[in-house]
Amino acid sequence: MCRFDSARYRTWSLRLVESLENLRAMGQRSWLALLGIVVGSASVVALLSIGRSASEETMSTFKGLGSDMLVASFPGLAGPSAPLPRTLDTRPLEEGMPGRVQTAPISQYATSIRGAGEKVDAAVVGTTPALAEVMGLSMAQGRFLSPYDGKGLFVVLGAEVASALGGTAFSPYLGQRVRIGHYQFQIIGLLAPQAHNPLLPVTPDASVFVPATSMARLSSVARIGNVIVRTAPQTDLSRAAATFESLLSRQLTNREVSVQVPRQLLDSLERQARTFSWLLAGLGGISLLVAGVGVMNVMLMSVRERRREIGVRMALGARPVDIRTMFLLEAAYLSLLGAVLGALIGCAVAVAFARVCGWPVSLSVDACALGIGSSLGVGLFFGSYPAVVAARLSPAMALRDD
Amino acid sequence: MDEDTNVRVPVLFELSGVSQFYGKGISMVRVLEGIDFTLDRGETCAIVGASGSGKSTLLNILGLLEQPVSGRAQFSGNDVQTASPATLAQWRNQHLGFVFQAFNLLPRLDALDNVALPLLYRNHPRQSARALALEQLSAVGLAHRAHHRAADLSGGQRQRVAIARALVGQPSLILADEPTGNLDQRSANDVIDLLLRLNDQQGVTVVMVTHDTHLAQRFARRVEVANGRLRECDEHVPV
Repeated sequence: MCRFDSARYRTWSLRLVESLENLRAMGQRSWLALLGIVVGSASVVALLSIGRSASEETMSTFKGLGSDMLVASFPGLAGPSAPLPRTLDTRPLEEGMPGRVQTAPISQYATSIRGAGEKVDAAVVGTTPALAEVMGLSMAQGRFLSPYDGKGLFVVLGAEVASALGGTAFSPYLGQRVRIGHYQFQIIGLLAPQAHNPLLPVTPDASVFVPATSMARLSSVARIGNVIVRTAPQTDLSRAAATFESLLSRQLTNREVSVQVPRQLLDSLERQARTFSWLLAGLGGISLLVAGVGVMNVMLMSVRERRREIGVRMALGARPVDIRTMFLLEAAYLSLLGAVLGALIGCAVAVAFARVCGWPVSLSVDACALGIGSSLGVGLFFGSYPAVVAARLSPAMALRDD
Repeated sequence: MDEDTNVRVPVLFELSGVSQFYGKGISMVRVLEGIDFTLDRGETCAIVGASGSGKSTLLNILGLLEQPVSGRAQFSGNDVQTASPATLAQWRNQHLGFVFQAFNLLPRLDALDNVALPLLYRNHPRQSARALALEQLSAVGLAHRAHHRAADLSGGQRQRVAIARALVGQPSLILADEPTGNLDQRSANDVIDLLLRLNDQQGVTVVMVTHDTHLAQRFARRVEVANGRLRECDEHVPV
């Protein structure tokens, strides 16, 4: 048994050395085949990584912006038969939900804000103090609305509105007044610039915030349009959405209530991004396939050129399996070296591309593993046909070849 | 096929009614037709004939490089037609040695590795294969050229390396296909001397294809292939 194993080891070490020497002797042709595999492997790794970077870039825009939020809206036309309220008692909603939740009803309308001769178009948002925590709003100066503001004429300015008003001599500061409609509102806070969250119905930078109870003075038509809910972490969002919908329907009878889960939208975006990555990987796969055909070509040519050598080896006692293994090992060397080199180049290209585009760099082990694995597989698959062709040669015919 | 059977069977190769043809239908070429031939152990035999007469095909059949289409071929009492390509390769490796007109050394390998190659296909350890190869190279007077590549050797030297390669596995049959075709007169005579000495000293059976009747005269037995048929030449001139 021991002798058998050492003989087998000898055979394999000999075959490995021999195939490597053959490749070296093939010179330029080996490099050409190698180049094909390098390009194929590099494109699989690079395209997969670039696709992933692109999707991470997309996702990073949305991440943290609603992964634990629900947004209720009221489809259908508001009319005298089914009016929406101006304010909403959020306590029964918060108590009825599992875990600790915060809710903020929103009513908004668009109008002009005036201050020291400047006029800025903005959305006036009537809401409760909870909105700051629900949306994670951060202040640049002053404070957000508080429960003690009552029906007071207090306003918090969004960052863009504040800077638009501060264009000339007028610089908004706390305690100063701006005019909304027919009323002078006192500035109690300025918001820091907020990341835009397309999943929520409010754009904080371009809005001003007033107590919900003051909205009745400003607009006779402004009604609650949305309720934003931040749920407790690790909540089952679809179940929470169903609970919230039924709680809200109980308060707002005769109105249709619809609760969206931004998370689901995020998930579908993520799925779409993943599909995009695979599409790119598919493109890489095509170039890998072309590389495989290249390997087959080079190996077939090599078999053709080395027919006499094959004949001599057979005459000296090489069995068909020895010849087949010799050529397969050559293909394996080419594919392995090409795959690893290609993966390295692919990673470098992906990093460079992400840097140029300002995307997050995303290099994953599985993209490299997939690139290397598929290149090796393709090389071996396409290398096996020339190997079989070589092994099937008749020794007499091969020797006769000039 | 073990060594004992080899020694016990006096007939090394037997062909009965062997035919060989290539192609099909109208383009079919008949190369050998109904050949009967018996090769005994320890014989020296020259196969002569014009170009295209089929003498190389006959040598290929004797060298287990191709299997006849019809008739019966037996090597050391074993049926050649039913043997698998792998078995034939093993028989070639263990019992046959080839010397070709074009030498057929592998150009990338040096003389030593060329000679060691048959032993490596026998799963010999590389070191001992090279040691045996060096011994064989010394026997043909080329030990000092062991590390030269085939391309750097003269024609006569290449053929001696090829003969060393044929002998390294201690074959029972040496098949030489026009081994002197690419050599000058002196080298040609050296090669024939070497082959006949092997026969004389070690009892190796030698079969040589040649179109040189003068060289053929030096072999104990001569057969002529003409129009696909085999004919024994009459006069037997001892060496």
